[in-house]
Amino acid sequence: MKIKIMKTIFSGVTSGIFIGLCISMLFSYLSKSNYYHPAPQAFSNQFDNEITEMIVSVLIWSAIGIVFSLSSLIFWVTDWSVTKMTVTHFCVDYIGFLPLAIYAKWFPLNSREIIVFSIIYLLIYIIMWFIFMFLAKKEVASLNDKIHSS
Amino acid sequence: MKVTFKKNEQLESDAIVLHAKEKNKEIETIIDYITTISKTIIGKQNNCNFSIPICDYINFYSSQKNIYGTTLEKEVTISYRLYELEAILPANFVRISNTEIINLNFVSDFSLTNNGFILITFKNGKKSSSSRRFLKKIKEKLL
Repeated sequence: MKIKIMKTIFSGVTSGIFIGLCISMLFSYLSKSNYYHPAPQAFSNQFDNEITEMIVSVLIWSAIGIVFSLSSLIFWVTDWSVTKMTVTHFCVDYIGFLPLAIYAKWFPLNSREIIVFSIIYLLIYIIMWFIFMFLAKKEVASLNDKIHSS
Repeated sequence: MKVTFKKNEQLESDAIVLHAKEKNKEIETIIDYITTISKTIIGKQNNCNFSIPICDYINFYSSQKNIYGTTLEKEVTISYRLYELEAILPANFVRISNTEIINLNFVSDFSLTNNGFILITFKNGKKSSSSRRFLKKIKEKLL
């Protein structure tokens, strides 16, 4: 279990940095400023040194990767119901991701932005719950078919 | 299938020989059946040891660091851990949660509860619950 957690953290860090790097390159390219910025201007302005800015960005990407990879264990090691898994995953990711995203200035700290983000976030989880339940229902039906035919 | 029984004094006391034109699924089922009924797992109840055929067990589960086995007649304590049982049990047994292994031959029905538990009803009316991630494994065993 300990080894599994360490492995999960490690893969969270690597995939977090990779995805963070790709997205920041994309946004830097789209901004047409000819310069690479690991995070939005509002974040860069906090630092007088580009190296520090990059280091802090990499740390944020790693932290987000760790939050998402560890929370995914909820689906792989627990015996919980679909509802309990989805709700716990929602809470852990929301509490873990939101402060990091705000700190990285991915969106401004005002209530309107946070509410819009939260509604989209909640909708995604509601859709996920329906998909999980639909798939489980299908699987259960096919199990019953098999057991009653044999 | 035509079955003939031939006595053979030269065989060991725990040996059976099957002769058939070819090995097919039916024959494999028969072999599985013979192996299962002849294998037993010791269960303890009130300080008495019972040698119970594996195919009589409905399920094995862990509770407060003890492993229990249930049959139609009784509930006994088992000295194996669940992962050890997983290795020795035949294909009709499957892990359904972190704490339970069940015998698929005793399952009468699967259902999904409103909050997303997989409810398993046994032929004797007892119920167990499983989680979504075990469905694939159960399906593979039922093939």
